[in-house]
Amino acid sequence: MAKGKVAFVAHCLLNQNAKVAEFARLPGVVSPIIGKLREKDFIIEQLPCPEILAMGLTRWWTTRDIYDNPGYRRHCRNLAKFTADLIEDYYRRGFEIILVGLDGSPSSGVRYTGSSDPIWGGRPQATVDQYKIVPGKGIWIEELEKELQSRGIPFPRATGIPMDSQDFDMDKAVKEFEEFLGESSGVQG
Amino acid sequence: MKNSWVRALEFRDKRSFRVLIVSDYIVNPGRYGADLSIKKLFERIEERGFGIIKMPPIHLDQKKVEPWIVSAADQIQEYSNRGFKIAVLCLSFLQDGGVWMSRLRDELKERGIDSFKFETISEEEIQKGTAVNKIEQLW
Repeated sequence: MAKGKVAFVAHCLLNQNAKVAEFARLPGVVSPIIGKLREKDFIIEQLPCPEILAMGLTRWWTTRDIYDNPGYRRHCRNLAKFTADLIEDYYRRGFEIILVGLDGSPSSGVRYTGSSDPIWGGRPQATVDQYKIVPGKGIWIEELEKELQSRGIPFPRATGIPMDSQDFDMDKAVKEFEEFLGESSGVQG
Repeated sequence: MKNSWVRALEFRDKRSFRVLIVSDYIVNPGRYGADLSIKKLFERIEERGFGIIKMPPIHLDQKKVEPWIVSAADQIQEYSNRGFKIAVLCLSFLQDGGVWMSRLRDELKERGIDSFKFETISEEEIQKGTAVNKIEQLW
């Protein structure tokens, strides 16, 4: 029996102001998702946003391909160390832990991340239709997973809210999320 | 928008340009045995469209808190520099206004940011439902 339930959520699910330009779908908190966690008595912890902490608010649109470099991975590893400290704290205390990322994000994607075709880079000339949602994790989530593995802590049961998809549908996302929450327990210490 | 960077960049989305740094007590009132009014305070913050940056919980080892404080201070600087409205929300009935708030204050002071808004709201303002109005009047 878990001592309690905790959800580690992508930073922007509590703060849409952190999103790259044109991708904030709500003013602040993504209430339809956060509300479901509160209804089910999850403690909410906010993951750091590696993008705002490295490139700030006026950053360019970016893809996983661009972020997949040693410097950005090192930045994410640094964040992963102190984030894993907190996850480990809950794990050792016997909490059920889930992770809710941001599918389609080059950093915070869990099931899907973002690539481009052709690969972006150099002079900015991106169009949104070049941004492809592809299966896989974002760089930040990958580095967090590696840090947890190195500590012998299983990666939490996780999903992503597909808010970076151009065809994002909140009702559909909430329904999917309810199904995720209704499934078996997450990682438990 | 005061800042030319933000004026120059049109975000073209639904963001509010308003952010509050809050203690764990406001996001997770249940584990502190807080009454229903704190849950309602969170809901009002949501309704008014504030984005939230949450501070770490009380039980995290002091030695492990530092990077979270640095990260919060970095974000305060970035949002402020870009002309977003950002403040730290403190509660008058909690020590230091909330867990780790004095550490955040010290971090900002070390960076030479002395004038940053730490807004304190009282239990009475929360009970009456006027707390968020007070926050909105900050800017």
